[in-house]
Amino acid sequence: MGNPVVELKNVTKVIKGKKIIDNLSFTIEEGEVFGFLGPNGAGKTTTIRMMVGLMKITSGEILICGKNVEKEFEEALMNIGGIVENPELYKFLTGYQNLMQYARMIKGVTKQKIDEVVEFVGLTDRIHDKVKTYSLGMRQRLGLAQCLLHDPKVMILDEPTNGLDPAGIREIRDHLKKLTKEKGMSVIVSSHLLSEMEMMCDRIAIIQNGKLIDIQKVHDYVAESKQNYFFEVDIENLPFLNISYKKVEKAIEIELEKDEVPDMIQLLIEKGIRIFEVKPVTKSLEDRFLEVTTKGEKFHA
Amino acid sequence: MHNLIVNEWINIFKRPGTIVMIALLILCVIGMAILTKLYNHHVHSEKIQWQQQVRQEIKQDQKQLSETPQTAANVKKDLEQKIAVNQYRLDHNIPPVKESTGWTFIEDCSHLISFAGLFTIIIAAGIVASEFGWGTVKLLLIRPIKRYKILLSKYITVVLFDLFTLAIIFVVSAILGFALFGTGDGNNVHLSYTNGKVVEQNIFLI
Repeated sequence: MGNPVVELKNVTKVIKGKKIIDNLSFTIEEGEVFGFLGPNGAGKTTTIRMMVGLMKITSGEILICGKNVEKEFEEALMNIGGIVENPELYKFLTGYQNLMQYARMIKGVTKQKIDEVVEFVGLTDRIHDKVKTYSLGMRQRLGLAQCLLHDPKVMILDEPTNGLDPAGIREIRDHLKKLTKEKGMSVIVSSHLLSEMEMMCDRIAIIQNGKLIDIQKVHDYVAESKQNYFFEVDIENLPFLNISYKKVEKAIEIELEKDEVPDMIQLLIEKGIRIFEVKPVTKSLEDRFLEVTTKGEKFHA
Repeated sequence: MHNLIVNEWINIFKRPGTIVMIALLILCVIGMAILTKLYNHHVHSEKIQWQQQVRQEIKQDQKQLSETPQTAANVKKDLEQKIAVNQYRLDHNIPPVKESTGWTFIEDCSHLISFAGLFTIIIAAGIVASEFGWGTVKLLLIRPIKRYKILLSKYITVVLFDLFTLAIIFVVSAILGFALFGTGDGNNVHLSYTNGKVVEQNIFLI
């Protein structure tokens, strides 16, 4: 980790005098799953389209593995595999023929590699059927296979879990984990499904009105060693406690380090308090997302 | 580049629409063959007095030529050419071929070339537009290939498709023509009017 594979430098996009993307800068590192989060119309898809060269950049630059997307298009795009919006494939071809189409466009993709990728996404049984007959989930998988053919360093997925059943979503998540951990691939995912992003991503950028509002690590265990713990207790007969705590509905919250939890439980029991439940309070991504975006909204209003 | 053209080629031929077009072309040639075969029965008897007939034709054409107004330059030119060719027949004793042979059938079928052109136009119109319609253009354009190469390969594919349909017309009409009408009596001279002169040509050179 630590090697930036994608760099956005002061990227701005103006369409008909309107700033769609305003001075966006961030970097994505090797082997991480980077989430792209924002309300509808925030500019997620626009940013992704600029990264893959489907849209011109008004000012600023995007570097992929050190190559400028606009000036060194072929070199930069060698490192990218992607699905922009829905994976639209040739419906009158079979899955395999579709993959062959993309394999022919890039040098050095062998038949063996195609079979390997098909196996990886679990389409081996149906790969020789026409894409017409595929379900949405299978098309997503074929889309994923299509962007893995040339072993890209970065994968860009726009709403990869769209239309998948829970098992399919889980499968995609596992695939992405495998790819990032084993092959050191970086993945950029955009979605509006917060819970999904929370499970899938290492870092999440929140954008709104084309501006970067916040980048957060999803599992910030290291930085936040102290955490709030939720103790559901018999709150009516609460004796005096010699510690700082916060009363919430039918429970108290205490800020503790993980090691201190058993001691605290013991202490509470010694005091004769009946404990029903103990759990760490994690602020869900949704809370953070709403917190951050509504703040932004107020600011704009 | 070569692979891109292969891709486009596969894309065209895996669509049912293309198969229908080619089937239509072949059907047209077969239809022509049937019509020619039927018509052929009626023109057997008039071989003897061809000189007289040709003279008559020239006379008629000359009369028509003098009546045609100066403005209809194309009509005039056609008539002049016809007269010149007929005169050449008289001078060199080459009787007009009334009976269909394989060679004349191929020539008749060359009218179907406009169909080939029509189908090529259909393919050309769709080759970029339908990529947008299907949404596949996004997956196509994020390959590490420059845009001009993708578009150029599409253009070359269209040209190749045109050649392919022409080849189909020619080959099918040749097979049918020789099978049904034979190769003629070897006297299959085609007279054409080039650069103000009447020239004898082999049919391959038209």
